[in-house]
Amino acid sequence: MKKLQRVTALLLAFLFLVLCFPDTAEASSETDYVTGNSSYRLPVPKAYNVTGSINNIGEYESESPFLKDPQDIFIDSKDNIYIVDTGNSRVVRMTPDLKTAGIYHGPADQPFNMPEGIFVDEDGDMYVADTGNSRIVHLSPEGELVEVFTNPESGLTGSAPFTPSKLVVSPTGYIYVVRGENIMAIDGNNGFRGLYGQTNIGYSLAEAMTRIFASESQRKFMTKRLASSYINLTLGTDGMIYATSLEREEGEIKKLNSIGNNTYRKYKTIGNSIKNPITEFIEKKVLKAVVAGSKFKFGEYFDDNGNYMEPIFRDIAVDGKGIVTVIEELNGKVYQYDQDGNMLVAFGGLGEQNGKFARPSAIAVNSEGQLYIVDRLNNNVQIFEPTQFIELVHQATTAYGEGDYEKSYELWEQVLAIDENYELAHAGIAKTFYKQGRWKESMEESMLVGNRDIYTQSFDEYKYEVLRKNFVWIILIAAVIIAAVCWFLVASGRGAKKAYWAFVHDKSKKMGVVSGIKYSYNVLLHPLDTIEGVRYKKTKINLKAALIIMAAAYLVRIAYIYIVHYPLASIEVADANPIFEAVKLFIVPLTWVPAAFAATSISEGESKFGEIFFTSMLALLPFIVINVPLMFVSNILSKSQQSWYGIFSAAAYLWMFLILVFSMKILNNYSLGKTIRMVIVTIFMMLVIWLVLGLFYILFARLVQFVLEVMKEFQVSML
Amino acid sequence: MLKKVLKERLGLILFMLVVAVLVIWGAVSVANAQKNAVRTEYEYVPVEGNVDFEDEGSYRRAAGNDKMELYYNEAKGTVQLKDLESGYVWKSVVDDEVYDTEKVNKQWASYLKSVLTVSYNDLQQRDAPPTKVFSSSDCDYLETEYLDNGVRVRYGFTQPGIFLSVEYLLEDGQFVVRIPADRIEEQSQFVITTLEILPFLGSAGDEVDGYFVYPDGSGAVTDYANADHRPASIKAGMWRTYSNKTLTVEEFMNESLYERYTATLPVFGIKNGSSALLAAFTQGAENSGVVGYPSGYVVNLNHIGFEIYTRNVFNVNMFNVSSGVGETANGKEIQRVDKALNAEDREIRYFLLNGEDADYSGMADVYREYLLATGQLKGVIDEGDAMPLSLEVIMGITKPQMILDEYVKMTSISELMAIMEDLKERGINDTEILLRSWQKDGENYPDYWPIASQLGGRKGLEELDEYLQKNSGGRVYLENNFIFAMQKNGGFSTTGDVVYDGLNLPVSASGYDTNWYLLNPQAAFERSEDFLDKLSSWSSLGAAYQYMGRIIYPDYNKSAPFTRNQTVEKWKEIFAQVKEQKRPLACEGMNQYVYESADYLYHVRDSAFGLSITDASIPFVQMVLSGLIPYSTDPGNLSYDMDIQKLKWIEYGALPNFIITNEDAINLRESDFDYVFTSTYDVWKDRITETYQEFARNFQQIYGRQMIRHERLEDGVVGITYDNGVQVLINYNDADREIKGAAVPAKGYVITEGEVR
Repeated sequence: MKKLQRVTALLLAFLFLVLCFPDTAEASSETDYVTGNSSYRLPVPKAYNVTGSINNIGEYESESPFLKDPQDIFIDSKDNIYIVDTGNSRVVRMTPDLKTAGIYHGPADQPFNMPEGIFVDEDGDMYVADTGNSRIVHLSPEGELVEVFTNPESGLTGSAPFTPSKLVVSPTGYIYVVRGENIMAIDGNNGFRGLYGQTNIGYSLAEAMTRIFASESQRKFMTKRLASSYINLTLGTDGMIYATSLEREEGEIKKLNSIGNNTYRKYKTIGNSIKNPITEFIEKKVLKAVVAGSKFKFGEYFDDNGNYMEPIFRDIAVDGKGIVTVIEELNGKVYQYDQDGNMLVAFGGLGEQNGKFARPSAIAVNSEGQLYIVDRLNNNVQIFEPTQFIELVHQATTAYGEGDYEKSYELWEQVLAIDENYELAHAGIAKTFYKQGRWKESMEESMLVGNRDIYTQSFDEYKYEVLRKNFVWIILIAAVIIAAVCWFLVASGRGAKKAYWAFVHDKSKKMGVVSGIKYSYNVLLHPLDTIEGVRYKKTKINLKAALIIMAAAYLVRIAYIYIVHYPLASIEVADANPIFEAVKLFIVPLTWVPAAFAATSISEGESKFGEIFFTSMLALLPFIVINVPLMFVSNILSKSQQSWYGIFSAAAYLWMFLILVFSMKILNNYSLGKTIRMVIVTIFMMLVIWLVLGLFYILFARLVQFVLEVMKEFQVSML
Repeated sequence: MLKKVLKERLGLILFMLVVAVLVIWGAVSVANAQKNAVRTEYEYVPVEGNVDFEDEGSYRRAAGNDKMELYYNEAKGTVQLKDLESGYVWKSVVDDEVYDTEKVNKQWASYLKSVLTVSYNDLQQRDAPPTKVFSSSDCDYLETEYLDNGVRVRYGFTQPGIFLSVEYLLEDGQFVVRIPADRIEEQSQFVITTLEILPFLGSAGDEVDGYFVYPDGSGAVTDYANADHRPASIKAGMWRTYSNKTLTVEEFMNESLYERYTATLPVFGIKNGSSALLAAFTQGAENSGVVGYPSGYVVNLNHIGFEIYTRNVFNVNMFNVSSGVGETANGKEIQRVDKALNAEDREIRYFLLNGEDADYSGMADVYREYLLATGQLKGVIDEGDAMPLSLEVIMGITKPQMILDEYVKMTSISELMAIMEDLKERGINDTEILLRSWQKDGENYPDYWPIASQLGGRKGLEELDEYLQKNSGGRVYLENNFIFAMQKNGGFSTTGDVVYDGLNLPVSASGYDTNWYLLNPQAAFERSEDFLDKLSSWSSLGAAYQYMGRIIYPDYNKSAPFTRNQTVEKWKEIFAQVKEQKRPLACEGMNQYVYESADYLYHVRDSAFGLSITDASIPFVQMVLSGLIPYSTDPGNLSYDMDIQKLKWIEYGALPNFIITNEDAINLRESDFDYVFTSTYDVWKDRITETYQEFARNFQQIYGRQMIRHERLEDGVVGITYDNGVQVLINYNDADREIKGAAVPAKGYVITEGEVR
């Protein structure tokens, strides 16, 4: 019966692990928003209004007045608009007041066939990616054929077919065209000028494993993993190429310099700074769809119904100030980022309303900051005009980028007059305070919106300032505290030793609860003796002491979450879930117990279940002993000292692991080699237990669902 | 012995018991279903038709008064209406003068010539889609009865065996169409689901100078002249009266879902040249809707008309349920019709307008007069009332924490009174204040009582009541929600208090940490009654009803069903109870049924939804309401640009409205009120004062007066006129404009007539 209870408890823990994450999100909000930390949507004032649309290009030389599957748009420096009307195999040129001024079908002898991209240079020369004909056509401003570019000869490009879709032409006359995971450069003589800015292929553990174990002939049949493809690109006024790709985490949007390196938002941490391999694994792999990972990602990985999706940034536009706007195809969202890659606003979405999309396919921005967004299913172009709010934001972030902190401070204040809670404004003001040496204010401001980076910078400065001013006092207090802690360690160590001797030498007495805890404490300084003592007097140990240690470890974890210094916290108090924390803390020691018992009992082991449980709980002691001082000390540490902090954190885990290994060796009287073998077997058993529990959970959930459905069928009135 | 058997076989016995219960339950369900299944016991023999489809017939005068004449074509069963003042003829069907019917296919040709279409379903194949038949080609039985003031026509579709009577009458100077419920006959298993009545009345081509108006949001216009600017594929617009068709929680919670295709008034209007008409559904409107087709939808004709839903149709998600009829459709959503007919009498009134009045302003005028005359709209603004400032106050929220949730006080009652005092010092005496999220632990549906102790508790309410009695001018409403319910908060029964769908399952949606339900109208009523009971000793505290002026829904619960109009009646009972206590009543939304009792409407919509067929948003509903019931739109501080919001308030005759908290708005981050990104009173008090003073200075003269004219003058420029002659020109553009000889500043307005201060 007791066993059953234990299994049920474990099962419940597993259930909670799965249940404590949402399956459906709350009804989506209809306002514009930014995503804060952990992909939470924070509403902001409306950033763009639809002020017009092109549904119909009007009468022009007996051409069809409607667009058909348009896939690209370009706006030149004089605000003329070029729409690539792919379905009609033509390019439509419109004046800034939306009058059709020209329609081009390409060379008379071989007209366009489903063109997908266009670039227009300063002189008005058009470069059209004539995708269906595998060529790039250069037309004069009047639409006369100038030249044709085809697939350049090169050994690097392989035999892949040439299907140019999106392109830009640099002021030097090179054509840059998207080609798979590269951008290909072609010179004016149709010569190959290199592949540029290859996307990151990343590392796949699964693939590495298969490569190790696969035979020669199997390897031959394995498909080569390709790097993620580029989707689109545009030329910034700064001469940089801005591109979108299918690469995940930081690579979705790139700003490529002249040698093809991405200089846009090279990874900046947001929270979750302590890299604990277990939690990282859970967050990244197991809960990928639920918990936002620690790496910065462009866009969102959820659609409006809360379902996981991987964004596809179909097109990108960059204005004169360097503000980047991208359109996401699947969820129909428009995302805007500042020069450093901070999200300014997200808006749009799928729907029938003005300002929503069916399938956005291209975006361009004109000199007034209006966004022209093409929809290939609705066959129209919507024109979005920036509101006063977003214009202020643009000005503020631009002023900061130019180093004009005073001006940016004023502008951010104006932004806050419209939106008191706008994160970037608080961060901007915090940054300005930092530049002005107002540390304390900077800390408060960045704390308001949870910006750990600025907080850390200001905190460090503030700390040194305090330290400089009160050096003597701080040294004195620190000395007193250190002395007190030393005294406590020595005294408690002595007490523990006493309890140890008392237990080992008193033959008849069963271990008391308090003396049991004292005894356990001895494991910190004398792990081998302590475990030996357990083996020696196995019938006399008191499991209550172990349970109390377990409870204490849990309390320490909870207290830790509340007390640890904010920039170092791996989880915010509001996001923490007490049950999930318990599962995280106990899943390893608790599965270790049955796994080790099972493994050793079939392998000449002598250990009993109770002993293993007792020693496994002893392994939680280092966690308690290290984390209690650490959570207090962390309050004078900041993210820049995170490696220190990480070492202690890791030491706790290593210590725990060593105690488990020692206990296996000593309790079973194994040799070292055998111990190592058995530890590996035990870890394997643990994995099996998790797998079985997981399977059990899935089957059980299925069964429950089946019963519920049968009941529902009965309940349904068949009328 | 028994003990031993029990000991050994207990598990098996329990298992068998469970199986037995399931089997019995299943058998009863199946028996029930069989009992309910529809069977035609007899072979239906169609009546012989009497219509000669070749006979074109001719129009004869059937009734008349000094304003209009009604003509009737006995051979076709169609009508025409002649406006005697202008001589304009409103044709009920399309003839070759209006549109070349040869150009369209056969089905559309019959549609164009029909006064009535019937969509029917087969009760024995209830998951099959409906069939649509047209009076011009499928109605083979006609019977005409001439009445004093018109005709009664019996239309018979003998093939499906469907017969119904339509009365075309002239009454009270209006053209009235009635469809009596007791004259609808369904003789076989084919039953009516939808009727379209006079779908082509007043239809016009692009060359006509005109537009049609529909109740999308505040009101919307589709101009015939704009046909060139529409996309290649045009979608028709549908607006169902008071609330959308689908009965799901998501539908009501998601703004863009319920605002789309929802009509606050059951009306539409057509303007053709210098003649116009307003059509209003005056009886049985809850199960009706407006459908508008701009030119380009199959035919180049603009037409709009009423649809009548005679049966409940519900969506059945076949994901988990196998269909009882026909084949199993897994994962699909199908529509199923109800067996019973909604036996309601229906009446539509058409008001004709001429010359100067023939526009949407004129339409709003006649409709306002009609509602006032029939007592469906009661003015509550008295002569000389001062224009109030409207405020929404968030009182407190709960933020989740790891162990115990944290209550965050945003504005306590004493702080609220301090704010009211402060406003008074700033010269703002008259207020409409809405208290939101004042309940224990904040706004947690369906909790409606008690008040959070952190805000001052019952004692606080007592003090507030005393304060309000001493200081006239301020009105305070406690907002409650009696529609949505979250399972985690408890306090209601998830079987007895909730709405059921057509499958007899509770309507619910799963949210992040709880299931959501809809309270049934009876439960809502009882809760409201209890709430009013709790308030009874504090007579000056008002009650505000969240969502109740926006949403109605049916309840298909077998034991206590509610139709949509019964729900409306229940809502009205709730409002009547508030009025009985002489308590101020505020409603969220502006559905027509609240007009007879509400003292204040909030969150009224100030634009149309924004469909691609809409050319302009107009304050149609506001013109009906203006000067009679005060109303406010969304809070101005949540706008992206206060200047534009201010202009919108002026154009729509709304009170200036702000959402405030005493504590910093930053506390609202990551809470249910996260959309309130700015609200701190200290930040906003000066701007609130300035805005109110500007309004009081310039617009006190029109407070309590009717807006009788609204004109779209130029792109981004509108003019409004009140019945005392005050005229305001409003310019939304970034540049100054010169209109009617007046210079209107950019993002500004001028008052061209009336007192300007």
